[in-house]
Order: sequence, then structure tokens, then C-alpha cells
Amino acid sequence: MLKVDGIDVHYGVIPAVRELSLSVDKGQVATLVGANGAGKTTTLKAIMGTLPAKRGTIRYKGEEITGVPADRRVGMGIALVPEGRQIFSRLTVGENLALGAYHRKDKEAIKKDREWIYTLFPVLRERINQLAGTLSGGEQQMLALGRGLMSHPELLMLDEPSLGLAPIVVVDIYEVIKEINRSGITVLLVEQNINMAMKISSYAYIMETGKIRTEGAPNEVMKRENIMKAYLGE
Amino acid sequence: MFDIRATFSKVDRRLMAVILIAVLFLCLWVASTAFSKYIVFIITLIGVYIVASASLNLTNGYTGLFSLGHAGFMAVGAYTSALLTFPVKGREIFVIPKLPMFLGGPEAAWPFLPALVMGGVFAAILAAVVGLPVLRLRGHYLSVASLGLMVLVTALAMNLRNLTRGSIGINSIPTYTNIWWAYGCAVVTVYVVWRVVNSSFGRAMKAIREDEIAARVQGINPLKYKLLAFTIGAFFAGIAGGLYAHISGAIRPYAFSFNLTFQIVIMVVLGGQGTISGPIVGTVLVTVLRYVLKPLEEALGVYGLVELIYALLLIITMLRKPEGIMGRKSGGPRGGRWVGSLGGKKS
Repeated sequence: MLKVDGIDVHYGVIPAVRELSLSVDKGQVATLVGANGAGKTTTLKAIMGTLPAKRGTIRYKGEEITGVPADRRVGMGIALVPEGRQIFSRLTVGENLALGAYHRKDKEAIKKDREWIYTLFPVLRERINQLAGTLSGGEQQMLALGRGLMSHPELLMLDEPSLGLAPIVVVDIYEVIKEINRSGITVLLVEQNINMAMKISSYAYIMETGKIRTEGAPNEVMKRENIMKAYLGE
Repeated sequence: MFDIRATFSKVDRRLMAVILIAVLFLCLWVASTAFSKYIVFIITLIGVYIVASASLNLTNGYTGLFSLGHAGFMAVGAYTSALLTFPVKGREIFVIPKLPMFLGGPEAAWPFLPALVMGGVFAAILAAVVGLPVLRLRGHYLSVASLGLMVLVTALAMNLRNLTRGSIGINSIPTYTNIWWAYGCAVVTVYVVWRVVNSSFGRAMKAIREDEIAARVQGINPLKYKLLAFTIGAFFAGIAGGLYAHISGAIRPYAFSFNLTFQIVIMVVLGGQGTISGPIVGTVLVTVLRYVLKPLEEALGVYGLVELIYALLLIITMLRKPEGIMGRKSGGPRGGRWVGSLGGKKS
């Protein structure tokens, strides 16, 4: 579904990701873990298209998308739920959700997706007219996820969905991520919360200073990487 | 306005709007017969300024593009409309160029409405052309660039003497603008802004205002909507400029400079950016204040008193209620201490 081949991504002149390759198969939950500053978020941004890849190619469903602008990638079925949620805080919950479906014209299907999101997160229905900035942290993460789902993605990228949330809320969010994946959406997850991420993933990449250090099935990687403690401080 | 939205259904709101407009025009009719010419003039002027402030609100308030170039677009509209409508007989005496063939030929003078619209169209074209490079700038850079555009327009008006008569300006412009024209245009402007911001276009604009990258990730092309907001705003600025030319009867380049631009910005900021009622309230307040204080200023001999009070008002508003008089308390991180008072759970 997604094949990233040898990309370099820079922040200005500073290289953040070097010669990174990864691939995500359809229906999978793949996860990208690593320490702070390893380049996980940068990688997601490059796949979304908000940061350009200086070198290498990004292919999605067999099509090269390296030069396609971010706002067009959304229409191709790629969605990003960004780190720190980045919801539109001065807009209502309803408006935030509507913005997720911005590029879509199929009114009936949008309605159906909206209903589905309300069954995943009933609290969003209750708060539909409330300003998004007044939601709690967990609710904001739910809204960010809901907004991402409103674009009807085939590939959903989640950047640290557990960041700053109470453990019990994290469990809830991960239940929903599983549910989303079961509905047929491919998930690429970025996490620092390794245990949670590894539990639901079928494939894992460990990143270190802008490169993939190791990859494989989560339990294998965990076993192989005793050194993980050293690298990730876990 | 959002609260109204929550409590009233769509039909109710539409009905309310119609009733409100009817009441407005009834009041205007009463005012136009009961009050002196001077007061009617001030009321009319408020209508003209509402066209300007409501349209500026679309860029500054809803899209988050803090433009300071509004007076420049008003100048374009004012000069266009004045030149198009100037009576044929007077053109030679006042050294106003005759119209070229494609605008009707030397024996033609345009009626008011098409001339007014043409002024808006020219302003919109200028906005679209200038907007493409300028709207790539963010924040302060955009403000400064738009201010530069305004300076450029006034400089052109100063120096294209064959067309504009330079610093002398154009006078004896037919004074077509009356209370009905002013408020007719104001109602149309407010209605258009209201329709735009409550459409999916408006949602995109607000999303860009909140976070451009996040908006892009929702599939919104920011430049497209910024350009749209800027161009629509400029169109109505052009209309406001045309109305202004035909109420004052005389225009000079300096009438469309820093003073005017900042006055309109103050109206919007004071009233409440990003609300429908804010610019209207701000406009009434600022204009009424000006004409109430003017005699006081003259009596005391303290010139600049009005500006001083404007500045003070602005500072007090920024300190006490930064979202403006009609502004809704923000739930966002920039809302600062207002967040707590909303009673919402904190993250």
C-alpha cells in the first residue's frame, strides 16, 4: 500500500531523516517507534507531504506521490492525525469534523462516516456545538481521530495518539484504533509508548537518529533488541 | 452569533434576518425624514463604513490575514466610480479625461450602479493579481506588504495626474450616495459575508486562520481560499470607496491613506473580529464618536483628541476584552485566561 524508498528529509539545512525506507501492507497496523528526535514525525510529514522529500521516492498504491502536494494526497486516501492533535480550537466540534470531509462530495457517505465516528466516540455527538478548544485532552484526541476518519482514509497515520493522556484514556484510544483497523483501514502508528504500540501492531520499525535501525514482527524485534533499553531508555 | 445559531433553527434565523432588515429600513426612513441633513449624512456615512469594515472582517477576522491595505482598494473603487460617472459637460472644465471607446466613448457617463460595481471589480482584480505573491507571506509580513500596496495605490493616484488630477483630487463628483444606497450595499455586504463564512468556503477560511498546516492536511489548498477571501474583501472595499466618493463629492489621494486604513481596522478589531455583528457595532461606535467629539475637539482647541481617544479605546479593549466587544470568548490556547471562565474541562 505504502512504499517509502530511500528518502532524505531536511528541516531547512538540517537533515532529520536519511535514506529511510519502509513499507506498509494493506490492512496492517505498522508502527514506527524511537526516541525523541529520531525523525518519526518528520517521516510522517514527508508521507503526508507537508515536508518535501529531498531524495528518494514515496509510492502509494503503486503510484508515485513524491511531488504531489499535501492537500491532494488527502483526496487519495491518506490522512494524518498530527502530534499534539492540532484541532481547530476556535471552531466547534461539528465544524472540525466537517473539515475532515472537506474534499468529499458524497453527502450520504459522509453522513454514514459521521455516524460511525459517533459510535466510536459517543462524547463527540454530545459536544457537537461546543468549541473544540474547551474539550479535555482525551476528547480532543478523539476529535482529532474523528476528523482524520472523516476524510474516509485508506491509510491513517497517527502521530503519538497517547501523548499527554491519562493511562485509562490511552487504553480507550487504542481500543478504537484496533476497531478502526478491523474496519479495513491501514494504520501507520508513531509512538513513544512502545508497549501499547507493539501490542496492536503486526510490523514494527525502530528508528534511531534519522534511520531505520531494525524492523520485523513486534515480538521478534522486542526480543532481538535487548539493547532497546539502551536506545529508548525503557 | 454562534449562540443564536444554537438556539434558533435555520428558518427562524432567516425570518429574523428579514424582519431585522425591514425594521432597519423603517428606522432609516424615519431618521431620513425626522433628522437634520447633517445627522442623516452621518448615518449614511456609517452605512458606507459598514461596507468597508464588514468586508475587511472577511480577510482579517475570518481568514486570519491581517490586511492593512483596505484603503488602497477603496481608492481604486472611488477613482473608478468617480471617473466613470463624471458628467460629460463638466469633464472639460475640471480636466477629467473623457472615457475611451471601450468604456462607452467620449460622450458617455456611466450610471451609478454599474460604475460602483466596476470599481469593485477593479479592486478585486488588483487584489487577485497582488494577492498571488503577497498571500504567500504570513502574519506581520503580510500586514506590511498590504500596507505597502496601499502606499503604492496612493502614490499612483498622486502621480497619474492625467487621470486623477494628482494631489488636487477630483471634486464635483455627483453625489448619488444617499441613505438607501449606503444601507442597501451594507445589507448586501453583510449578507454575502454571512453566507460565505457559513458555507464550506468559510469553514476552510476559519481552518486556515486556526492552523494553516492542519488545514492543508484536511485537503484544503490554503492559497486558494486566502485569495478568495482577499478578492471578495477587495471587491466590497471598492464598492465602499465608490460610495464614499459619491457621498463626499470630492476625493484626494490622501483621503485613502493610513488614517482611513487604520480607522477601518479599529472598527473591526474594536467590534470583534470574526463575528458578523462586531464590525457593525465597531463602525457605529467609531463613527458616532468621531462626530460627537469633533465639536469638543474644536471647542477645546485640542486637535488630535479624537485619535487619542480611539487609541485609548483600542488599548483598553485589547487589555480587557481582546476578542472585541461582540467577540466570543475564545476556547483556544490564545484565549488565555478566558478559557477557565467557560466552565469547560481543561486538558
